[in-house]
Amino acid sequence: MILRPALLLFLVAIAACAGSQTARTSDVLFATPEAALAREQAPDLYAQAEWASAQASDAHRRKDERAAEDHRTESRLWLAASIAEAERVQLDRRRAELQREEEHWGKQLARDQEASAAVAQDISRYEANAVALREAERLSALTGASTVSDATLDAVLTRVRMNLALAEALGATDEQLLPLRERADFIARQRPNAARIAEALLLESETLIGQTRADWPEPRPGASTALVQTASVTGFSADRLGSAVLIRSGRFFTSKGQVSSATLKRFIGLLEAFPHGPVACQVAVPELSSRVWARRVAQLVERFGRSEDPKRVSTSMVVAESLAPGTVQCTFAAYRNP
Amino acid sequence: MRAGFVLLALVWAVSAAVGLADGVQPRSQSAELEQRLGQLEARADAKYAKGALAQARRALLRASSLPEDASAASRAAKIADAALVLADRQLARREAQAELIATQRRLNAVRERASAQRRALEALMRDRASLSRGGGSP
Repeated sequence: MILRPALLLFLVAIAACAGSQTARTSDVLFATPEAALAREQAPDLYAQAEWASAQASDAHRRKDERAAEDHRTESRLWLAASIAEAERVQLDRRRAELQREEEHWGKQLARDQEASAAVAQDISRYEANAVALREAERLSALTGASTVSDATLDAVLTRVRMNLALAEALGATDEQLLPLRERADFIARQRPNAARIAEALLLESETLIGQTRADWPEPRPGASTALVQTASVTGFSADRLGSAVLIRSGRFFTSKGQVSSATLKRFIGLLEAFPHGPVACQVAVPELSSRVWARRVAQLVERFGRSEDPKRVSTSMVVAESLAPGTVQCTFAAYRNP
Repeated sequence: MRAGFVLLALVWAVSAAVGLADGVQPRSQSAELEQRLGQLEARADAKYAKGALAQARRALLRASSLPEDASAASRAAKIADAALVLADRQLARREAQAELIATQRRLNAVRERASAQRRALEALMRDRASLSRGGGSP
């Protein structure tokens, strides 16, 4: 790359003072690697140079030195042009290579930007889920506690009011709503510290939503979206698949392998609030022959059996490398449409 | 005698026509070369082919100054033609080089951006994995 411009300069220079050059100089120029490259890359211009060189030889044989010198000058100019053209072709090829590389990096950049946005969204969802989970567990903890803190009571009342608003939107009557609203107002004023009072109100509000939804023969439009949202705010991971909604949690079992009452209770609340269709649950286990996991799953099945509609939930074991052992994923098959 | 006169007239007419054509062709070729030279010299980047353009100019001057030597004038015109092609190829090569440099700069920029984005993505993925392990996921 550095040599070629120098050679071109040399060619132009000797062409400019052609009178002092000899036929031998031309032969030397034709023998350079640059000339060989020019023969490949710019054959038409190279052929002109060769033709002029042949003309120079003819004139030299005729002893017409003026004509020979003119033809040599012309030949050198054509040769220089063919070398310049060969170099241009090479530069263009290199540019095309760089452009392909640029496209490759551009595509990687676009893919990574998209992936970063997705991961950032995941992180937001994880954080939102963590908050939702803390709130959901606070509500679920009502079962095991005899008293309720001010913060938990506020969380319960907020949830009850949201449930009642939703039930109203779904078509609950004033007769159904009014008593619960009055109780919520009473609890807000009196602030009793007995957990069972708050818990009873919360469960009744969730049952009312389920009853209102159950009046319809099948899930209403938007029900699967509502299921995903409700599951998320109650601490489950939820995804809408093509033909169902998948709810997942790794907290159905405690670290000691016992069924988590808090998680189960939240899940049963979800079942009641979304009453349509069968629900198929799979428990991820390390291996199907594991007795320990068979015992744990049996315990979960027994707890599901205590719910109001024991036949609605079917439970099985599955070996899935992508899921941690004990993760339970349940498919709400009736919630197909958004 | 009469036939001989007719033959003589025919020979004269043919040679006159050839002579006229010889005179027209160099003039039109010269004009075409002048035009090409003018176009190249008018380019903003003409300085990058200064040597070749100067040689073309000199060759054209020589061609026009040798009306009595048609052969030498024709050779000078051919030198001008070759010098003009050289100038044109030199400028094209210069353009290709400028485009290559611009592409290289763009490539460097996009590569840097892509690398930075990849680092950001990896950091985000580490954050997500850490949240996942820490129980952020339900």
